[in-house]
Amino acid sequence: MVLSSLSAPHEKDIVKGFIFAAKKILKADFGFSFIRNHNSQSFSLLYKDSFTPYTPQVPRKSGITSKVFKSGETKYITLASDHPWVRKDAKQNMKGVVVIPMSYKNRNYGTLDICFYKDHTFTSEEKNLCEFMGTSAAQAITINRLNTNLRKNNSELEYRVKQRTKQLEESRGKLQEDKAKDNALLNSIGEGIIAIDREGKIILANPQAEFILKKKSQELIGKSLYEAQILYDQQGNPVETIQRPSYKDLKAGKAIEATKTNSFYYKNNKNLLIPLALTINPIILKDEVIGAIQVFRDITQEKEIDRVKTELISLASHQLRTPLSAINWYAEALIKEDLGKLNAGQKKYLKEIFSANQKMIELVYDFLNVSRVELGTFSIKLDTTNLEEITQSVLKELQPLIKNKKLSVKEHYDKEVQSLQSDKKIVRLIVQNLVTNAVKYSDFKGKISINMELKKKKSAQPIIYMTISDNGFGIPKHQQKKIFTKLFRADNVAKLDTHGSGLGLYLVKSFVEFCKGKITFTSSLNKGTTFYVSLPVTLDEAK
Amino acid sequence: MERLYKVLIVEDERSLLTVIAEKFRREGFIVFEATDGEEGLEAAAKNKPDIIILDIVMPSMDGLTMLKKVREYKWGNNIPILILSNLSDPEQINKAAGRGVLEYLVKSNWGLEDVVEKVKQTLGLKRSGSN
Repeated sequence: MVLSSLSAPHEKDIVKGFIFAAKKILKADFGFSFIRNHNSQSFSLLYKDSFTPYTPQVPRKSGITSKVFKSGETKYITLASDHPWVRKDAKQNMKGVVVIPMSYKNRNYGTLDICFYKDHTFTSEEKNLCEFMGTSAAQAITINRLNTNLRKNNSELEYRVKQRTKQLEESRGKLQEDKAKDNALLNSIGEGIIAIDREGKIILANPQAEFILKKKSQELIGKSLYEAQILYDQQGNPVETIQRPSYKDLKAGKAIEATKTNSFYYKNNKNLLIPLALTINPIILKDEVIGAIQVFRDITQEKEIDRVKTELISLASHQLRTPLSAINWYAEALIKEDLGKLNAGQKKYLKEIFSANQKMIELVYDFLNVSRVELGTFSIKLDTTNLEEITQSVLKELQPLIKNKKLSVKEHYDKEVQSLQSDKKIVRLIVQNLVTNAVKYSDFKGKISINMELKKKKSAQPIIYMTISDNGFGIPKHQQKKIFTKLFRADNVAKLDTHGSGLGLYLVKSFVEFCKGKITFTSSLNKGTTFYVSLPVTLDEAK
Repeated sequence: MERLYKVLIVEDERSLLTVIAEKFRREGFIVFEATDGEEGLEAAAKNKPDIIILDIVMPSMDGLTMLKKVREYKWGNNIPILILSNLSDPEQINKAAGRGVLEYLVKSNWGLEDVVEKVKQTLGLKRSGSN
């Protein structure tokens, strides 16, 4: 690195000083110095003063420098020309010489070679001085090297710190950019967004969440979501924490599923219940659920629009029924020949008017029921209910169609279903829709089977099991998921029966669920359909 | 019929009122007509009908209000009243039931003949073997 060159000039200056001093004190003529190279046993010439008459050669192994270095002892030579350790070219230029090891505490750095043109006999005082200088030079080099290393380390450290700082700044810039993007995204979304950790503690809340919860982000962060945002049910009762979506799974660290619901409310500052659409998604890091994101939105307006729409339908169906009733009654009076005899053709046409009108009334009735179910104004009225009687009256209504198609109907009723406590009207609507469907969607000479059973359970409420099956057209597999949705009509029968409203099964499911029951079905194309309904009821004890 | 029975029909929809009134006349009833609650109350007080057929949604005085008023009079205490309405809200039905209504019929579900049958049954004419 940059700093390696620093050591050389300093060490050169040190030995230069010592050689200068030695020359003065010993009255010597010239001097030079070898230094041991880093990490090796080889030597190189570190310095020679300008009086040196020749270029000192790199020390041989058997040469005087190597020997002094190895032994660590100063060598004094009075007459070099007689000495075997001194090389030839040196011998020609000098007579006396002293080679001083620069050695201190087992650290050997090199040698100081001080030379005389003439032979020189060293006094003991001079020898002490020489040894002192060797030690001092070594100390000076030690200190210099430590110092250099320190500076080198320091500036290396400094360099690294600078590099790291630069990297950090770069990544911070990137982070800030990402954060700015994320913030812009979070702020511009109309939904409230809250991120929570596994404990349910809030780690993030966007401005819309602040707005809906009427709390600043600083107040929210670190708080439990379950305390900061209390949810209510439709009746205004607080929802228990354990009932909140994903709470249990999140606590257990399980993979929570994305949940979407419209059944929660919150209270605004006027203590009014505000409906919310709420979605929960897990935050997954390396296959582990570390928290969740809750997205929510005030859906007051949507609900209001829905309500107005439903009210409109309800009003419209009432208004429609008045003229329909008029047609109904006038046609009836004419058909019954209250106003005089009709010929066969007139009677036939009037009957067509009458039956088309009846269908229209049914349709309006379905619409009304749908809107009522959606408005939530339907209530259960318990009454003595005879399921067998209801079913048979439904079959009686359908008799013309059953006869036409030559259908065979197999019925079974448990005795107990004759006296139940249930809502007559709802039960009739369920049976009517399902049996009508079975009849409508049966082919010529089809078979229909109706099974009404009652199962008593020890502790729980008794349950009616209705099984209504046909061997008719069936529902195409790809449409089976949708059969309970509003306005659904199966492809294969929509052409055959153009009168259907697509509301029947939607209503049945709504009614069944309204009574806390369940409905399922199996169906295969051209083999038929079976509906299974289970309804909890009370037995009529009076009978 | 051993005697002539009097029926009061209160219905604001002219076409419906006409057809149902004529039906009852053909069946041998004495029929009084009214097109709102006020008229109905007046006619009831004056004619003391044997039975009242009453609509709910009407101008000036609705059927439920008229029903309440009729029950306030001594003469009106025991008159059987049939509601014949197109409102089929359970709420409306419950309200009517609370005021001593004999039966609540939804117009579009009931044929003229069915209504006549119901009235005859109520007045005990069916059992006496009128056919």
